[in-house]
Amino acid sequence: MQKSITKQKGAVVILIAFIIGLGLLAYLLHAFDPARLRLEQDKKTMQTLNEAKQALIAWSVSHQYTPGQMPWPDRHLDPLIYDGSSDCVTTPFQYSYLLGQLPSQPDTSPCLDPNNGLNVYLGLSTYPSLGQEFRDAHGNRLWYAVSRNLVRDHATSTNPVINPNIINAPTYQWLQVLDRNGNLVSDRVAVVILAPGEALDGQNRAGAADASQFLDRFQIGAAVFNNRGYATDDEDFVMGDDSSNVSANDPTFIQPYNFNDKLVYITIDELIAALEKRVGEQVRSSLKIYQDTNGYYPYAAQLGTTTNFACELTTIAGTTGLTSGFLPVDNQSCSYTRTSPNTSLICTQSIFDAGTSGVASIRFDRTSGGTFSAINSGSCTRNSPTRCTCTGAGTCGDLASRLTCTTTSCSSVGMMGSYRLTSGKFRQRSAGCAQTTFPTKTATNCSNSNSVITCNTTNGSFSSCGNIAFGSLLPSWFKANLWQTYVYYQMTQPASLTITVGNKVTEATVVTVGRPIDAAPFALSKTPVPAAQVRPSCNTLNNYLDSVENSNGDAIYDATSIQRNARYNDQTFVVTP
Amino acid sequence: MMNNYFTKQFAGFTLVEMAIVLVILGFVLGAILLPLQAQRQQLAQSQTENTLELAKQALLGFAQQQGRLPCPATNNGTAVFPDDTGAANPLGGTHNVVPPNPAVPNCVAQSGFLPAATLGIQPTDAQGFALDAWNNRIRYAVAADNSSTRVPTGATAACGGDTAPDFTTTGNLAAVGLVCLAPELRVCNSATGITATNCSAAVPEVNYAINNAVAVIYSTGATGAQGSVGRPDELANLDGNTVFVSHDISLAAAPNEFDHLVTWISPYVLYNSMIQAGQLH
Repeated sequence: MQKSITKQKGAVVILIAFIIGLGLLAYLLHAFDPARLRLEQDKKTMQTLNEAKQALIAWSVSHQYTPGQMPWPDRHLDPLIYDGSSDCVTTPFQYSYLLGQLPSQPDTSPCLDPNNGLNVYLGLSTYPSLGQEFRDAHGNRLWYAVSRNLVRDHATSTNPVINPNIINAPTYQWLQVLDRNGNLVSDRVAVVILAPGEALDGQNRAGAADASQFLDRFQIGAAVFNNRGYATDDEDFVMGDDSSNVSANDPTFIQPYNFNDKLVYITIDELIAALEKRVGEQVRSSLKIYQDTNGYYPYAAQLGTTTNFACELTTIAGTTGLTSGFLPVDNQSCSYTRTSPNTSLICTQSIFDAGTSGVASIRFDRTSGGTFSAINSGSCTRNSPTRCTCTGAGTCGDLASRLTCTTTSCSSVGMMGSYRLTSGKFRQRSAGCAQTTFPTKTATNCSNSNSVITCNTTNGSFSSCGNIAFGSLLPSWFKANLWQTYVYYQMTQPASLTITVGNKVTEATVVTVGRPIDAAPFALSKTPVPAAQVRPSCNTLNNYLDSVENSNGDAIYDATSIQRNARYNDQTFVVTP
Repeated sequence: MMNNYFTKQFAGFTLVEMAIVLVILGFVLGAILLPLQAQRQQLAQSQTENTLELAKQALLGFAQQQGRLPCPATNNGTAVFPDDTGAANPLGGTHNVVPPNPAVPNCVAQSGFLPAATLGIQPTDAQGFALDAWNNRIRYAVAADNSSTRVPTGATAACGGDTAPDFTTTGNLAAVGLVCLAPELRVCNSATGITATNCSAAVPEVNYAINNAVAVIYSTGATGAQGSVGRPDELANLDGNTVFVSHDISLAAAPNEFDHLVTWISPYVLYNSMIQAGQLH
């Protein structure tokens, strides 16, 4: 009996050790649990996707020449396959060109190099790309699909116009993102970034493998959801469930289910919001430079105007003007000189430009020297031996006595005479130029009545608003993307008005007005509730500014830190101090 | 009888039993220590990655407020503030110089330590340097490019501006403008083929994770700087130039072993952060 007890004690120790061993085995299995490892990998992949998203938004917003534009993807059909470069195309467009790997290198030949305005002859553009390779937890480079609205059309050499209008009225529909069941998550998607994950179902990613070797698909009933194709402007991409989360018996999906793509997307709303910040800062900086240079701010352009963004003066002498409205980006000035036997008119911008000067025609009446022979070309018409009228570039007369107009200048050779411009919107003149019609503002729209500028005696000049152009302080992308219709501006000049932004007193403020709020009520509870914003609008701040505080005309504005939402997209900026 | 009883009662285990128990315990201890060690390493790595991410965000926040990045902290042994304090050196960043001051003002070290005291990052050592989970100081390098004499492609005039580094001088980023900024830091996928300034001699450049970083923040891992001898990928991060290496941790024997944790700031993320904060346009 005693012998038996002794033996049992040893067995207990062995048993305890065995149990501990089993516990540790369980612990080890847990530590190296495939699901846990996969979660770690998913975490790393999602982190990379989000970093890529931030970098891409940042690259686009801070673009020197075309803020808001996105690069073309790096495609498999490019001769160099996946070489990291942005494979823009000049051949006829196909939507499939907009799906590929996220490029780390600049555009390839033969597309535009924005640094020098020339097409890349060989190699890569000199304008930098992201300069960063993003890879998922399995070492795959990320994939990327971009909306046609945000890439340059190299075939026709045109840039898309990117401003808040593109949100609701895009040229092409936005991309869509669907959830695991095929339900719509967002139909305002500008960019989709995908992580392919490890190869599934026989995918072979060597060489020039196409999207189907990287990206996945699944099927619910007859409906196929996949990330492999890009065939239409509103192509959908799907945030499907990972295969490891879907059982082989799940009746929701057609089996076998092979899917492990991960994706993040950029909506056009978040891209435009980030862009507006840059726009506001750009305007703020340009206004500050203008003020530092001149000691005052420019008069504003008429709110709501669509054709002429010159600053508005309310007197012929130019002593009083609008202190709030749009930015005066279209200032035009012309110099008039008489140098016997010639006369010339040279303007800073296109003369025959309805959007700037409003001049429809320019008439030259010879006063001395030769006469026009019966020859005319281009947009000029010889009315008589002493008169020529031009509506654009052209010539009247012969080599000895002629008038020649380009888009920005006119000059006579062999004769002196006077220029007469009608239908223009010039506001100031000096010396040899006279203004014969006083500008008055109509009540129902933004247009001023026409004035007539006649230059006929001595050297002189005229301009739409002083001789100091504000527009030249803005980068070319600002006007090219029509941002002037999305920026409201108010300044103190003369300094009798106090402007307050939040709790800060300032000399001038800028508000980016965003897209029109499409339905009432407004964010900051207006009473009575106004209708949806309608633009352009000449007299109603409500149609541009979204809160009571911003739109009541009292020169007090919301603080710069007010949170945006679906009914409020104003962003205020303090110019100085 | 009594003697016989005790002999039997406290006879202990047989040699065979003891051997079995010791073998099992050996397995048990080994099984305990190995995964514990691995898990500790994993935890330390995760903690360090978090600290590096925190440092990245702190640097972006600093730039949003100051309009520049801070210089690295140094431990040159001078012990003259801000050296050896965990603060940026110089504390106020770089600045334009007026002769006869040195013609090229720069951070005391372009590649040094994360200025935790300036950024307010914890944990730190007694001197105020940020530490990773292995108690090694976190390192930091910042772009020192100056674009004043560079002529941008397609332009006829030089960028202008002063001679101070663009990224560490208050206001220079905005003054120089986006088109001229050209941060020079590289993070390469391996040290093979790298030069003193690029990830490859080939043009266009290959072998890079990023070829225009404005800042690189990194930990020297469990083995620290001392453990890098004979390991070219790790030594590339310690040679004081502008080219760094980052890849997954590799436990292979030297020269391929690599346990540094490297992160960096993309220039566009910096620019956009500053645009959103009103420091750049």
